[in-house]
Amino acid sequence: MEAILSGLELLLQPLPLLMLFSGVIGGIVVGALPGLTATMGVAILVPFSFGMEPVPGLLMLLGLYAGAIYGGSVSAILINTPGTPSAAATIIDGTPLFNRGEAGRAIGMATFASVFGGIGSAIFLVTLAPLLSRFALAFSAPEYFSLAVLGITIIGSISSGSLAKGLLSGCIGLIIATIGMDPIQGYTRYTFGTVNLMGGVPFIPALIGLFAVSEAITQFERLVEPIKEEVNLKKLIPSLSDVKRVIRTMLKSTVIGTFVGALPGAGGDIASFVCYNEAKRSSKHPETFGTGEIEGVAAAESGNNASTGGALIPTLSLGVPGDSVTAIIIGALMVQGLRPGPLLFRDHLDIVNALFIGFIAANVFFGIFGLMMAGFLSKLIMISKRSLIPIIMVLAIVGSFAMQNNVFDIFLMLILGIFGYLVRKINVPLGPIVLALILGPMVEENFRKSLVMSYGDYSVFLTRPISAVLLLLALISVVTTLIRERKGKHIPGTE
Amino acid sequence: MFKKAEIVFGGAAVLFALLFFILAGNFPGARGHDVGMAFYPRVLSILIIVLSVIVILQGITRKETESESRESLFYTEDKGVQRVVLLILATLIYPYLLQYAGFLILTPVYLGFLMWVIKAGKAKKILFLALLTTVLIYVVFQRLLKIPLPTGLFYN
Repeated sequence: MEAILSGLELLLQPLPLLMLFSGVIGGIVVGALPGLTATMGVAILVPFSFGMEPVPGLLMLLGLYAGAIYGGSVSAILINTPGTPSAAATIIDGTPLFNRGEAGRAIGMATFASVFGGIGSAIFLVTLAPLLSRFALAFSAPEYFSLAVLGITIIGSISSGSLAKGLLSGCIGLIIATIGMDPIQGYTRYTFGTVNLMGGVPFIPALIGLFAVSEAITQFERLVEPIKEEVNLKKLIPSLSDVKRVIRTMLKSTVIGTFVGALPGAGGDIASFVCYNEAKRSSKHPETFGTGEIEGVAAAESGNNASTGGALIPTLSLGVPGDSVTAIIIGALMVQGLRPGPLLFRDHLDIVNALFIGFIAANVFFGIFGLMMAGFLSKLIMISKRSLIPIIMVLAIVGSFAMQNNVFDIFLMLILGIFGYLVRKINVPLGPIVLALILGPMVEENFRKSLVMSYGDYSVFLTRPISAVLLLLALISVVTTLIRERKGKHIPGTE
Repeated sequence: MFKKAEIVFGGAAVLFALLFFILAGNFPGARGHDVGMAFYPRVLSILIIVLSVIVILQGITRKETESESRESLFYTEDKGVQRVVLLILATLIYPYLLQYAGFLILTPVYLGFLMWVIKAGKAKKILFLALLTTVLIYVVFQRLLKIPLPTGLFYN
């Protein structure tokens, strides 16, 4: 009890609250603007958080995270373009609802579902993270290796395109991640003499290039018709009948979303599609999905916001990122001297509690702000989709430059952007590459450490129970995807 | 076109993996129980080659879908590809020139050019948006967030 009070004490001060509010509002805007993703937003703001105390700095990032994952739904519904990758599934029923003149109903439900999913996952976070952190003491090199392998395998299995393409994409990402200093001895590999690659391929410019720039290039190639209509934003508050219709799905999606978010590397984009597909599959009227079924919007949006709390679980308890945003947040935590894991919960429980409460508050705030801002946001987005793309390019360039103050990073962003643009044409998913860049070093470092620890005995990965279970899950994921491919069904992709 | 592109991609991936495999020959080898610097990249290159072969075979053997036989790989109507080339060129020149001329001067030019290419609207609207965006980004990043933007010779 006193731990909660000390957390509140840290939270209820002017600066932390201000940072939380600005983070949420900024997050909603960032999420709503296509091309700016939650990850980019967090990445760009992280340096700003270094100069602050841990609680306000991290609250800003958490607020932005929650707000952005919600904000993506607005542009998904209004202009048929996901503001962030995690809103891609929202388009399926969001756009038809907009076309029917029910944009307000869709946005209202998206808001409600997002808040529901976010708070639900926060409850899981608060209860499970401390438990899991104690479990973390059983985690050693083999377990971290297997966990990282599981993350990449699952993404490769679930992403769009064939299983082979997904795994190929993941392996390409893994080998690119070997560029730079090796994780054990610092020997530089594949740098071709340039200093710029000694630290490896910088993750943020790579991410910005692969997602934002490739999307911009695609939009330049095929011009979209500018939209001129007025948007009807009436009926924002979900009706009772709508709520009754979607409540079961929202509960299920919250659980699924939290779980998917907790898987290393898997984030809102995967979660939203898994939840959407599950809602459609288990529905009594699957044929309505895709025509403007409000349940589809609810499933996708509660799923993707649930993944935020879920992603924070392994992040705080194990130091393993649940998705790309939390990968950055781990960096921010370390700079503040807060090492994720059991020690965090033992020595800094007040900070952890402040973050927990703040995270729950963020989920409430974006709901309130989102509804208030709906009118403003819709005008902002509809100004002109075509003007947005060049603006996004500039933001991408600035974002890539800002991390290391290095022009080389901008060119890297462009190269990967062109690569992403080309590769998307043949349905090769980009998600696995990004994940591999995040988890890659973890894979190699722990693989080699495990072998040193076991004196060269490879069976260590299978004789240790946790590691064996994780690898088994990875195998199951591959096999079930293979079976599904044989049968001809396949989950419509995420990127 | 799509099937051919998949095969080309698979082939490129094989070459890419071979490059990494060969270059790893220079890395220090195993020491004690550590497998060394070359082991992991080499295992990955082999995996990539195997998976690429699968992708190539899948590309050869599968049937072309309806949408694929209708569309071409690159959107050549309405000068789509030309726009892409212009975007890439502009995005190469702009960062290069940033070392010399600084953010505030070049960004409106870059933005204006791209907006014109993408046909975003009339000249006045483009000019206004380009300048407004530049100023906003400058204020938010350089002033508020204290994140330095590329400056040019004039500032130094």
